[in-house]
Amino acid sequence: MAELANFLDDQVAAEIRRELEIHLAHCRTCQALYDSARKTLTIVTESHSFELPEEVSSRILERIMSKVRGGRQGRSNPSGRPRKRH
Amino acid sequence: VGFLPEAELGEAFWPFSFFREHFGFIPNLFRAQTLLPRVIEAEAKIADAILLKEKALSRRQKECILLAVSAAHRNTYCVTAHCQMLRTIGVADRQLRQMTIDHRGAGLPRPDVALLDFGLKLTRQPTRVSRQDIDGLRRHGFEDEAILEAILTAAFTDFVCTLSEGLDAVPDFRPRKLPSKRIPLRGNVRPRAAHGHETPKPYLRAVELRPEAFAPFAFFRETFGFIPNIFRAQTLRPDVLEAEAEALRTVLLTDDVLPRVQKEYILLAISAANLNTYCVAVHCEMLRALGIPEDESDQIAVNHRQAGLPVADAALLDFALKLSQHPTEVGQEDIDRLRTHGFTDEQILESIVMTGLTSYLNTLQMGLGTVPDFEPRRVFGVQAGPARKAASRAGDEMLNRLGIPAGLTDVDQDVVRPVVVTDPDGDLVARVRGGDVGAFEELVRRHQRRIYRTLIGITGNAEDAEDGTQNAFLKAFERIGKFRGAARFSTWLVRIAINEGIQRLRTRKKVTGLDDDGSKGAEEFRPRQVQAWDDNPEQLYSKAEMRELVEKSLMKLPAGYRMVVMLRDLEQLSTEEAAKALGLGVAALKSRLLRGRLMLREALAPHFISRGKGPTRV
Repeated sequence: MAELANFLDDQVAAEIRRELEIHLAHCRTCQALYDSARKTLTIVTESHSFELPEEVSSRILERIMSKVRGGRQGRSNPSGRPRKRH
Repeated sequence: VGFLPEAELGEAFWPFSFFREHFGFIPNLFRAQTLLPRVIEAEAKIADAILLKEKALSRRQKECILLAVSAAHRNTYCVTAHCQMLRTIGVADRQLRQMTIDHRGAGLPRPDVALLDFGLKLTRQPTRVSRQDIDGLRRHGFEDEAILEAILTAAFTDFVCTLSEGLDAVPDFRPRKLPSKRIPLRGNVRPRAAHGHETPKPYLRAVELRPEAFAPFAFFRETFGFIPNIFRAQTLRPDVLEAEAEALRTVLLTDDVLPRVQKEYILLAISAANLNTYCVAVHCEMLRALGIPEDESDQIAVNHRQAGLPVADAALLDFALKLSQHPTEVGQEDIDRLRTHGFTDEQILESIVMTGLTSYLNTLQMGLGTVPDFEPRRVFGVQAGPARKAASRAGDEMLNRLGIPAGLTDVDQDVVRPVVVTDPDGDLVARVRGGDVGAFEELVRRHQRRIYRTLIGITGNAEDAEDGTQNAFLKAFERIGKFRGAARFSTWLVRIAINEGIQRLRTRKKVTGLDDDGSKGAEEFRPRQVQAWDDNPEQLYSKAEMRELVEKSLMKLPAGYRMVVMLRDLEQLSTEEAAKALGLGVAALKSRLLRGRLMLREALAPHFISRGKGPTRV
């Protein structure tokens, strides 16, 4: 199982990779499992899930920077509860 | 129209008129290599000697091997080409179709079925081929000359299949459909005793050829200092030896496009991936003769990424290994990646031809059963155990050189990379410390997406993620004076965000930390959906639907697993970075990552299983 994790990340030594491939070549269950695990990786990587919406991004930036700049003028606890959203 | 541009060679180019005469057309496979005419000439000579000359096996028998092996490799180009060639010599369409599904039901004579069984075993499980397989063919009435031709044809098929995938050659005729399942291996597939229990001599009869009287042997002796056993074992076919010598002279021994050393690296790395003890021993020796220390060659054989090679060399080997081990997955992006590393199209073409030639030599050697010309430093076995130990030993040696006591790290040592990592945020961090608030704004811009996603992964809630992102950055700003640079700034920041997220979860839902969150149930996690997935799952849904599916599925995972998957696969942190950020060991992270990925696969499976069949359970 640990090797499978490395295998998915292309990090196994050549010999073990070959071993796994020999096994995959004639074990239909593992082949389906491996193939779908690879596809899962691709799907997740390319899904752009949980993108930060543009307006939230600028709101966060604005608030952080106002506290950081404000903090320079005397505020000592910038990690206090943030303002409620409008 | 393949991956690489073509050059105009004209009809006078002899291999082209040769192909037209013998095949009735000029295969696109060769048109795709016109940047290097010399390799087309070498390939034409090989094709002539192995495929076209009718000696012990008929052209039809050899074409059948080509077809069955190409189908097993799922190579549309070669299947299409050889179906056409078999059709022109009178084989019926129905029989051709059956041969691509399973040759055993194609109504072939029994000896021919055995011949194809052997060809498939040799190309798909080469390390399991033994003298018994050769004896089996002899019992079917095949002489050693015929068996040699079968081995050569199988090796030649590996050569052209590799070429066509690497070049993305466009089928010359209407592409043949491949069956959805691979041809099952049958017959001689039982594991066999290791090499050590066998008489160490090649499987086939050979005749004496003296270098004084046989030019290819004189050439080998002059070039390599010896006549490799792999060639001594083919003396039943001097004409093939001539073509092979010519191929080595024009493809391997030239220095004008890729340097010889890089081509030897390709040979070595692929031979090791193919567990070919013979070829690894020979090419370590050849590299030694070229001034490359044995340790370095050995490390390339074990894992080229840890051999301290220049980045471009490592990228070239990445490509060659992908082409040899996962040929159908090679795409235009792989070619483009090589271009960004500065390789010219001619060099890329030569690396593809070199990869094909290596597949040829590896398959040939496994079929011939030749013994190494030198004491092999590394003997590859079929069992995982010894191979793993060998990898571990080599790793220990490397660690010793780096001054790290052996035994401190995992077997595969991907923890240790002798590369100095510089922090891309280092300059900005220094400026913030010097009082430059504008530099901090840049850091927020750079990392807020990652931090937001990290927090959404933990809290599962957009509002918490937004507030948490803000807090995490403010904490980082407060503590930036304490940042020591032991990890990258981004890793350090992610760790702050994770703590922030856990705190929020605790106050909200009284959920404990990441360590015991759901991990107990997951210990016993076993995949249940083992149905094959659709070939192109990403085409089943729109991008928005896909994103929603992934987000929902991720949310179903226990937080401890979700975090690991998100950091590695969404944020693309390295294993080490993700482990550091989560305060886990690398081994623990890997096992959690694998389970997380499998759980995610399970959640996604019902949406992507090939249509027509329900899920099965194991």
